[in-house]
Amino acid sequence: MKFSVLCCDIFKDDVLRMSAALDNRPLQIESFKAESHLNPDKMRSVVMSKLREFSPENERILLMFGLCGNAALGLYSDNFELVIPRVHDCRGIFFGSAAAAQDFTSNNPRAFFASPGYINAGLLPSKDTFERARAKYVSEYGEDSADFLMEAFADQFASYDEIFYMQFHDSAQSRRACAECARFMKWKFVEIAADKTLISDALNMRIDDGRFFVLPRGKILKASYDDGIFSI
Amino acid sequence: MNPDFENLAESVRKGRKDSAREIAGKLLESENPADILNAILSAMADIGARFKAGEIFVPEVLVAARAMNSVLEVLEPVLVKSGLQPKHCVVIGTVFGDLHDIGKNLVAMMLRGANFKVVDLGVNVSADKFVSAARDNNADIVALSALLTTTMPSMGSIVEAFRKSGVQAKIIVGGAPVSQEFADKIGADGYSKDAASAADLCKRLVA
Repeated sequence: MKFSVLCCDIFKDDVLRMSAALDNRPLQIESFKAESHLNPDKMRSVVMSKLREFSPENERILLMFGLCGNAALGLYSDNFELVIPRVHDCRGIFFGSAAAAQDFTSNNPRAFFASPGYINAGLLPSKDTFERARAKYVSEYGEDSADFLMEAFADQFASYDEIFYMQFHDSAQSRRACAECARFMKWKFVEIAADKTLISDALNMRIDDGRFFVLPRGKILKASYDDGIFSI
Repeated sequence: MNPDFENLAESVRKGRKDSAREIAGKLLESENPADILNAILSAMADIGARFKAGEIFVPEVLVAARAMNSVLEVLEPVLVKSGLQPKHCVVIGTVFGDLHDIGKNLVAMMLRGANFKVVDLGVNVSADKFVSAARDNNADIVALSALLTTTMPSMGSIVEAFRKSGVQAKIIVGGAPVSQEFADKIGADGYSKDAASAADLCKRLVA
């Protein structure tokens, strides 16, 4: 089957590495910036625009992201079948399924997650991100309000006390950056192996209904509001 | 009209908490506290409308709400003495399993700005806690917040718990992944897309 991959750039390196070993390789591997998650409507529009650019030779497009704050809802293609893992967000892909991610999160409710791709996408909190935020607030709202706004900025990380570094592939640089983030945020640093089977099985077209949703051509992706996550 | 009313409203809109507090203190010497309250509520309504329209963003709302709170600190004791207390109560919290509170806090601020009594239960709140807080405070409305699609389902369990408990409060839901479709599916009484709309929705529900 001729297929291509459209992934969040958090997974781009992993998809590229795993695809290199395939007999039946994707025709194209495209990605979009992880920061577009901050605005689900924008992310949907970016994904739709990327979908329109794939070669008509493709039969299927593998989407390597999840529901992502409902950004995936409303996706459709008249030209290809779309295959999307039944996961809420990148944690489901890190852990191999939404259920495994949910189990892990229930047992570690104060955990922040990062992977080499996540770190490369510039999403880790750091001294630099805090300094840049403060400089912006000072210039726009003045010193006094900047202090107050920085409290709100820091609040978004207040519910975490540990960071799990999900090891997809060896990256000493990413590991160091993650450990440095842990030191800066005063979080416990924990390193665990990611479960690569969801990505690997998708690339090998081992698409089962339990872990993946296949959206037929011309249909619109909707939420199921249950464990299946997606419906038509 | 005393020009300091407009100066007060402008200070709240611009998030200048010290000057807002100072002007309110000065106004209290000669003006009706209800008129001062109306001036800051109208400033916050303006902030809410501009936020909804995408003209301003979260930091502007936060600094305006801080200025409003600094005025309320001065005003509240006087309002209580004169019997001008909020008539309606909203119990608010982030649902069980979810530790995010920025959106919820923003809604709480906007509700205070719309003259509701707000009982904030914080984050990771169970259905039982919502039900007992609503009962204890005789709440008119219970506002449920969730940031994650993984924690949204517990909103359904909370609605169910309220229906079983017999507590009559209206239940509204909100948060980034929540939609009107989801609110209808779980039988919530209302959904709002953002903090300013949440205040409008609450006003409609108690009207």
